[in-house]
Amino acid sequence: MRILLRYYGLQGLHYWQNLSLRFKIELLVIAVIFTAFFVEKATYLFDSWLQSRSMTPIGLSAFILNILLIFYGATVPFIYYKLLPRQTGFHLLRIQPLSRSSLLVLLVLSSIKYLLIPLLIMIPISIALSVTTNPVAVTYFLLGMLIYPVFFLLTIHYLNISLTGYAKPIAIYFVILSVYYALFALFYFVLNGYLPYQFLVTLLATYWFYRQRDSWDSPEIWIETVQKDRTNPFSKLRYMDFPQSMRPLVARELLVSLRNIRYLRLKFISTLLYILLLLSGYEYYRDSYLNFSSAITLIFIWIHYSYQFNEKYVQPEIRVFIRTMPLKFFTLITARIFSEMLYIIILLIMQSLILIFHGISLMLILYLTAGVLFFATIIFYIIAIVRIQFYDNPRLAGYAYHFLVIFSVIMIANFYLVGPLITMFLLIYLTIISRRQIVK
Amino acid sequence: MIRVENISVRYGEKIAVEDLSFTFENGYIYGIIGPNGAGKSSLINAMVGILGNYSGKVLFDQDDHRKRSRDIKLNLGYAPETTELFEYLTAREYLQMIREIKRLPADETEIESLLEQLNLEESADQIIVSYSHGMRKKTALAASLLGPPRYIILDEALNGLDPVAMYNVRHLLRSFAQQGSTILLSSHILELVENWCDHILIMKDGKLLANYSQKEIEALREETHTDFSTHFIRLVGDTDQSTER
Repeated sequence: MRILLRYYGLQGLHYWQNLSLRFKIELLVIAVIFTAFFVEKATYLFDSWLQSRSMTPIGLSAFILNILLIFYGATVPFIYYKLLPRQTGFHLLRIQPLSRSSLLVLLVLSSIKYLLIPLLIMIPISIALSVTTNPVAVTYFLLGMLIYPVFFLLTIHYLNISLTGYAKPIAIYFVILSVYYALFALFYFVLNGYLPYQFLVTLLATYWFYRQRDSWDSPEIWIETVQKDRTNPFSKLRYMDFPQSMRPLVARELLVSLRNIRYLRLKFISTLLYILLLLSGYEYYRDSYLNFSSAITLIFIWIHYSYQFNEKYVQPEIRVFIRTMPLKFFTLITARIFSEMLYIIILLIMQSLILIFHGISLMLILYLTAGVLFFATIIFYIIAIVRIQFYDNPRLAGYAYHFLVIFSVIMIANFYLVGPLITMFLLIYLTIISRRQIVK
Repeated sequence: MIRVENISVRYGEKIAVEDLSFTFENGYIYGIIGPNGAGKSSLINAMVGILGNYSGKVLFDQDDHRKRSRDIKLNLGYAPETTELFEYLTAREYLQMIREIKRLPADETEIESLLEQLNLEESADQIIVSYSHGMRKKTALAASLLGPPRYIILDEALNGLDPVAMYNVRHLLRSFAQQGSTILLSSHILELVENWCDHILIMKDGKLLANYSQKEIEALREETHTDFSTHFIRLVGDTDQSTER
């Protein structure tokens, strides 16, 4: 167990040690800004709840704890079945002759990194709770946040090794979760006995998991994700079929996307869903249909963009290609914008046709389409430069992009003059450093 | 000609290459050899521009890599040890794309000839995602030889190739050197470097320990009555002992 703890501890330590000083300072500054922002908002919110809803400090703590635990609870099966099997460290260690307790520690430690986001939220919330409530309420919240995610993980693990397949364990897991929350709601809102209830659940769960310890010999029944070669309608499309003006970079971008069956399947399903939503929404939002359709379009554009950070749908850029090929920065950016904008243009054409069908004026549709297209291009430009900055790691680019967006929104919303200026400065700075990745 | 002047590469506290200077002349094949961690790949990464944080200068025919990188990249063929390629392109498409990015004059036969010499013809129209490690290596190698470039740098790119491909690549590299290209290859395989290269550079701990021409190697063999590998091991081992002392 000590080896495992050391292995996982050292990974984080080495990662931190390998970061440059500038990056460490940037991370700390961002962390302080985010924490301060969330602490301020949460303190205000908790204060108002304590006064207006006449909650007790412990009651507030229990309420917040269980709201956050819903998030934990819902994501644990996904982490267990999808993310854990992909972790190299986990695979390397689980085949070692580890003791039963070490295997469980491995399971928990390997999952922790996926729960880091709620853990990061936990810090400002516990600070805000310590400002507005008392140490007992904060301790209650922190203990719950540390113990219950482990319970969730052990529950799905126990169900997995007891039952075959993964549909049954997931279904039973959610039934257990629903029963827990239904009873919690009953004890919280009606019977006012949530503290004994939670205490009892914790005791029973601990006892149950302890009793079952003998059956947890080996966490080996993970479902592996297997990549299969599949053909698709575009498999006959060749590089040389593209006109000279679209070669080499646009052709590359399009071929890489169109030959990826998962990308195509996703686009097909999301297009169908988009049309369905736009058509069915007219009945409910007849008066504000233009707003409704714009909101739906923007959401779908956002979803379309989010796949830029998922390695299932985009391939990381190749280091040799970016650093040793005579590429031009804006040619690469334009090629990427062009290839990704095609899908957005398809969405906008569909939206326009549906709006025309519902009798919206052509001029209005034109303004709307131009506005959305402009906005979408700007956003994609940001995504493209962030992806070049982190060219070999789309996921890291995704974190950076979302940090950038959240940071910009917070700054613009709170500082009307300085906020947009800082955002502009950040974009110019990012453009310069991303360009340097290619032309250096 | 490629000239490196006082190149130093550091990864935090660790010095990967220390104040190294050397000139790689046109028309010759140079081989770099050394134990793991000797600094071969770091030196090459600095030369081709993958590493940005190095001190010193890399000159390609008097052009500083930091100042005229695009012109240099147009004339540079580089194949790394890793086999990352665009998964959903075919080898033929990949090579065609590289040709177009480098703006090489239209030549239908070059790609076909390279594919044939590397035994890739049959799989050239399959997407790369289905390729074996060796096929990927061959594709990356073929891409680095398109042109042919004025500077060819191969970082462990020949390891794992089949004998027929090795034989053909050797003749290709020799003919490119005769046409005036500067060729630099690094490898762990001593026999490969010894038999293919006009000059052999031995690196250890980020330093250039020795530089031998083929004539000097021949003289060394006659003088010591041992083969080059014995000399290499003795040289690298001696440095180990002197470092320990």
